[in-house]
Amino acid sequence: MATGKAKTEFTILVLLLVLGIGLRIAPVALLAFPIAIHLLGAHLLAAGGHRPRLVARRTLSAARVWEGQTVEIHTTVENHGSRVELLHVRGSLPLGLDLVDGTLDQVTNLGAKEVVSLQCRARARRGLYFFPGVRLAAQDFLGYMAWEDELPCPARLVALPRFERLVGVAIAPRRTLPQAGTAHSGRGGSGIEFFGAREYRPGDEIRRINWKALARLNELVVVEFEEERVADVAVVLDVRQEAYRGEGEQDLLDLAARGAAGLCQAFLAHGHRVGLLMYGTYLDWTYPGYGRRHGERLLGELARAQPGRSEVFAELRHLPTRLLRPGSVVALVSPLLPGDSEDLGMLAARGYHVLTLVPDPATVPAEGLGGEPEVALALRILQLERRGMVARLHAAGARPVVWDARYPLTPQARAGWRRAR
Amino acid sequence: MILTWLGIGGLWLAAWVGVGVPLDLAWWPSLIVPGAWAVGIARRRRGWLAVGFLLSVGLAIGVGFGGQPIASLVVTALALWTWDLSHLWVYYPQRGDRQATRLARAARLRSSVLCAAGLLGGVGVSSLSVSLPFLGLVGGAIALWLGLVLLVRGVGRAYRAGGEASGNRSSSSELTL
Repeated sequence: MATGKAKTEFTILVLLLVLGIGLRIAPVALLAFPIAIHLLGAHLLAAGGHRPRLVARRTLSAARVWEGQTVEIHTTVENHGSRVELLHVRGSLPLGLDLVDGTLDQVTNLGAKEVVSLQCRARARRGLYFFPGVRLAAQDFLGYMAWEDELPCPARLVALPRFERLVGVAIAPRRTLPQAGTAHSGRGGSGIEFFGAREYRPGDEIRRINWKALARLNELVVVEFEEERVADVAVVLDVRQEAYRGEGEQDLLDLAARGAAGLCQAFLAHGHRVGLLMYGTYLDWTYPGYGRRHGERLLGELARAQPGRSEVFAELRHLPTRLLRPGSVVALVSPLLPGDSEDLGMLAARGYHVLTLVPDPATVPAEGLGGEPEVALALRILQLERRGMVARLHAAGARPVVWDARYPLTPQARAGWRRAR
Repeated sequence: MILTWLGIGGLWLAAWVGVGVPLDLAWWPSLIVPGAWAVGIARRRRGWLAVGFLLSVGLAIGVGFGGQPIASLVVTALALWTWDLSHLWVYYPQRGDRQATRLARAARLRSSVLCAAGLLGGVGVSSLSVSLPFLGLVGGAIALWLGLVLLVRGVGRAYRAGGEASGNRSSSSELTL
């Protein structure tokens, strides 16, 4: 379509013609000639290239990456029509991807069947990204005719949360599944850890007889070990907006997602049946499952976790326990809000084996805070409040582990959850 | 950029020479013309460029009224040239890039040819002495107008959006830490 430049020039031409001819002023009418020739010539030359027929393609070096990794983005625009004198290709990255090198913007002259390609590398933080289309602006050399559009070339990128392989996390839920696993079931049988001794009953294995007890008591006594079974685990990632307020909220959520990913993978590695609930916006529940494929699915779900707000899920007391098998393990990852410790205590009192991982917001680096005494005092108050909440969680049996973000999670989790009970 | 400033200076000088190199105070308000151009270029504002162009045409009319039709045509041609070059300056991103430089050179060449053709056409017409009835003149003007409108519409149709898009060609890769 005609640009503002062409319209301005055309208006001046018309004015000159109207004034010059209408008022019979020859010098004014004369000036219309160079303008008319300029305008006419520019339009004729601009029309030399017909309708731009452009095709855009975008390829990514990988559809799934770990957070912090770079991905190569290759965008090509091919001209299927006649020559485009001036083509401005403007790509853009979704929010959360940082350009490392390369370009997203290019001005070029594109002949028929020619291809312009833009290549760049971007670093992804955790998230699910949908790439926007490529904006194209075509015009003639002098800018009299312009064409602008956005060609959609959808691409999807998932940046999965990095996680630590947690070892030494022991669980002892009230109820377990029939399959053999690593969770302490609270029942005597075959296992590793000593559970108790009882009098011999016909059918007991001879090797289980405690011969020293027989010598001392003159009775047959067998030793029992605690059975280890597979358990149902629900990992709950708190995505309530309120819990992630303030400076570095995205970093804190990323940290929480990493913690949840680590827990999911650790429980799956022990053969447990793991489900994932993202609590905060709506009922975002991934049904429990086993195995590596399910682990990748959970990572994908955690990649898209974003803080949200909902009146219904503003408090943990509305945790949908119908989804959680009675007596199963509930592993909550949350920076905690006031009142959560009481709600978690109620959950523990109802028979759930509750583990709480608390990413400490005070240890997440926040660049904009500064080092003023007021900030230090506020952080101190925040820490004291959190300590109080953590103490109440201890008392309620919700087994909290406060994760200092400056250090790896594994030793901290091992120290807090080494013992099953 | 230098050529744009040369165009601005040239058109003002041509106008000055055209009106007989006056030095009285009445002439100095004409400096508003290069001033408007300068603001448009410095602030990269199309509106100011349009004001500069409009004022330059006004200056050319003034020169024409002074009885110097050739000088007024030169001023107009230089105004058109400056108009094109200043738009190039405002619009072309990636200045310094070899490709952009090549494109800008092609645009400058086209602008120069068109302005020269306009100037020559104007000079040719000014030297002609044709007597036309008034209605014929009006009819010609209307025909010219209609021709331009049809041309603009035709070109607009030629440049209508017709892009195609094709989708994701992403390939998944092994996950490695």
